Amino acid sequence: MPNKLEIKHLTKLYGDFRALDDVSFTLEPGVTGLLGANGAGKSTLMKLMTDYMKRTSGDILWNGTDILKMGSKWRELVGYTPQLQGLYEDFSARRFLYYMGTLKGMKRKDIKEQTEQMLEAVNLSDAAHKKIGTFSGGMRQRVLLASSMLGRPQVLILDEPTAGLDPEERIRIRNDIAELARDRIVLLATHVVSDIACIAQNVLLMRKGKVIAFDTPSGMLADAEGKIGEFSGTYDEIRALQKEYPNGEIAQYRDGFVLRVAEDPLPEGCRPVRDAITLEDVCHLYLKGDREYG
Amino acid sequence: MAELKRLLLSPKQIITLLMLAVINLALFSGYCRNVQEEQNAYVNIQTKSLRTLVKQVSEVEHEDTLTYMKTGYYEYLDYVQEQSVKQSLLGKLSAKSSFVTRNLEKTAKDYGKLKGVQLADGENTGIKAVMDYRVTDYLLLIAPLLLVLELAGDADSAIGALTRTTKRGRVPLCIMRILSLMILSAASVLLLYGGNILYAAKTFGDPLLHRAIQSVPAFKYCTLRITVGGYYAAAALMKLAAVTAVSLTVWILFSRLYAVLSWLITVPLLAIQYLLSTAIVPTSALNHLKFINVFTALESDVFFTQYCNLNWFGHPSGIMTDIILAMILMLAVLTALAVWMIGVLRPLRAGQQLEAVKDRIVRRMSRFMPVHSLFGAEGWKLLFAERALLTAAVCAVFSVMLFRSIHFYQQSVDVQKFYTKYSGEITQEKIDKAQKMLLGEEDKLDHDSQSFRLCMANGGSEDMKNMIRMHIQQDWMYMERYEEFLEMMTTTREAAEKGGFKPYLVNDDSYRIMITENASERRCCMLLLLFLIFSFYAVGAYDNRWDTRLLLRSTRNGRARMLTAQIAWTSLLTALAVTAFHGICLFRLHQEVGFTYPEAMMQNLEMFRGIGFRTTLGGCIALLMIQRFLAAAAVSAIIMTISRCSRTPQRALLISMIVFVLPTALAESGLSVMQRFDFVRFMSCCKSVIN
Repeated sequence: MPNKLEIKHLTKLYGDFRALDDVSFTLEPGVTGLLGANGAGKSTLMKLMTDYMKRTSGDILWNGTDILKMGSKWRELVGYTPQLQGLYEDFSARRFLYYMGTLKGMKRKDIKEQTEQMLEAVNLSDAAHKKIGTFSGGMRQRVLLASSMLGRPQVLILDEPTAGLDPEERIRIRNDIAELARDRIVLLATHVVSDIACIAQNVLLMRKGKVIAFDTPSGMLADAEGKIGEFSGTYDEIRALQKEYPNGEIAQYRDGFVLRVAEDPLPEGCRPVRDAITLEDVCHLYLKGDREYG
Repeated sequence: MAELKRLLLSPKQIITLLMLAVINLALFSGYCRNVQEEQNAYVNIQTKSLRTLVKQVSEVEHEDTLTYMKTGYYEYLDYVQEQSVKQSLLGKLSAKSSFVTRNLEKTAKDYGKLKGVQLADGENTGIKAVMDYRVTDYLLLIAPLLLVLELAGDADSAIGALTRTTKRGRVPLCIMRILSLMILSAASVLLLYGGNILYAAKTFGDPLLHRAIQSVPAFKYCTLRITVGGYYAAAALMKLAAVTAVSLTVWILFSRLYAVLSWLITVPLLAIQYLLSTAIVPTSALNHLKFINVFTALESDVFFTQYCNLNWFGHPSGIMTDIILAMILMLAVLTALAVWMIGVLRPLRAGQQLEAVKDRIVRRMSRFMPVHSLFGAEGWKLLFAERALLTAAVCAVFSVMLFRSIHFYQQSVDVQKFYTKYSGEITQEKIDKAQKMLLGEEDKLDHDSQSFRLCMANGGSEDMKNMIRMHIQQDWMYMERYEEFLEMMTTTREAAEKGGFKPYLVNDDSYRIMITENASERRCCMLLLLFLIFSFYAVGAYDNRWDTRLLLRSTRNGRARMLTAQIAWTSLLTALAVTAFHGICLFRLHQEVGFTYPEAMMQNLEMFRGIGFRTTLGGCIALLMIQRFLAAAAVSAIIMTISRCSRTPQRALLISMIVFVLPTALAESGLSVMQRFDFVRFMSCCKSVIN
């Protein structure tokens, strides 16, 4: 029977502020993309899932057992990449992975073996001896990703793991994540919607502490049909229209400019888009008005 | 101006300076207390009639100073003139080199200027304490060096590239930074060295700044006509020049060279300067290297306490003139170099090949890097990443200096010979012998009293009367001692019979010093406290930066087990530090006073008789060490807690300093309100169960 991680009626209050409000969903092996604006509750959800923080109410069940009861056994199953700006600056990448390996309770032989594998996987073998303090943002991100994969955890919680990576690295890491997700649960929060579109089996949309959609990408795309449309015109006409639809996206084609909008129902004069709907459009539709989503 | 404000008024800079001032005050106050104890110690003086007198060191020193001021100094001035004439004549006869003759003439001329100088009595101990205390000289370097290392690092960052693209971002900015460096160095000197002067004046009394510096015997050879205040100002300026010169050199090197080459040049350069300043004797032919030296300038006292002329192509030149000219020249050259190399030239660095070599070595070595257990990994983090090992190394250097400078004084010098005769297991034979001696002393007293009466009756001379009076005094003293010892032996024997242990007569000096508060112990404790703070301030806070704790806590061993490993390391290092620092004190105490009969029961000593439990005197030392470990462990635990609650290690360090060092320094400097927050006293356990 495949592993199952159930989130049931999860609520988290910071004083009077509801960071998470009655959130429920179930994760199964595969990648689940997590999208939402800043402050939507993504990081809070991840902190609760790693048992970093105390929940106000609700349950998180791993194959039917509450993770709080599992204690360190649960953390043994989890690999986590936080959204950090810094790490141990004085550690070399290899030293840091060794350190994380010991914290994960791995055997020495496994630590050494897996560290080299992970360094290879994230393309850091040549820089493994250098101090993390000298690394660029992308390299630090790769170290974190490698550390989360150490010990081959059953659940991977990745908070923007591809931030700061160049396109080639991003594709490589994305493929690695997809490969890892074949037999484990991966929750992937990212600003890069295309990453989710490529590898996610499910997408979870959050807004103001609530889950507003949880479906497969194809289901979401089907649902958005008839709600995505385009205005065509000159640049000045399009600019004037954008004042009315500030979340609309301007694009330039050979025959002029278009303004792509996500509205339900579509406004008059707007030509519905049929085949070329993307996950980005879905996000526009659900999360419009929020400062930034991802 | 904006740059001056940015660099000098930043909270980081102010906090660094204040922290250094507090550490310096805490360490210097301990040193002064040591000097005070030394002053209060007793010495045996042999009089002309071969009688032994016991006097306080300060009393003897003051008598010597008075003699020096009344006659000694002026006799010395005359002697220099006489010798100069004689030697000059001899030199001419033996056709000695022109330098020798000119040197003699110059010496006579320099000392001739001091004729008629008025010496005045005043408090000299403080002046000597400020002059002799070396730690401040090295603490003075810290703030300016931190600033230049930060500035050198800026050159590689985006801000460095950004500032250089602006109109005033090159030479003017560089000049402003040099000015900031000088102001910071001046502030450092004023705060640390000035603090020492004020503290010494408060502790030892007013040094009377308007007196001629020659009034202080240590400055007998100084040929400058300056006052005590003038000496302080001149020494401060010399220190300022030295600090600025060192900082500018480091800044230039670190700005123009890659890190490896910078360190490879800077460390030997400074080490060679230091070695030359300490290893060369003033009379050596190489003494130019000793006196024209930044470290000699930093310590500065040698220019005021010694008279020496350097040989410049046969011409003698005073060391003071030489060092002033050398420092002015050095500062001018370094400033010009800094402006040119940092402000004008493009920021290119040399020594990249060495970086590549280092990289290759590190890469090779990193393949053999061991995987530690959780305990080992936390230890590595604490020792290397959080730099506890560096702290330990620095403290080790300080403790060697401390080991050399701490002293213990027996409080009853005249009693020693009695202990030599009678200490050890108390037997009836020893008691009988002491009783016999007591009777002998009583007879001697009778005999001397009779002699005195006869002398009075026969109108003996005053000298004779005084001699017999001294004999009588000594007889009384010996009688009292024998009575005291007899009583001690009998009461100890009674207590031993009652308690069922072997009776021992033990000299209690070392044990009493061990459990009472004393300056040496306090200095060791202060060093221990600083070691604990600088070693453990990052335990916890190191993981709090950028929410790293979030990542660690998501792992299997990242909670209780990690904390357990951290506590284990903290305890281990605390135990080692307690053993080392208190061990220094105990070892010194054993060397200078001596722990005798550690196998004897502690109840043999009267001061321990009321204690309920029973152990040997050796056990008593062990017990005290355990108490001291527990006290230090409590302090470590608080530091760890502060660290775990702090967002950054820097903040944890600051809070720890405010919580522990500031109240201790204030208590040490005599603020009675702060006495209860004196953590050094708490850690020394002088108010422990034992006493």
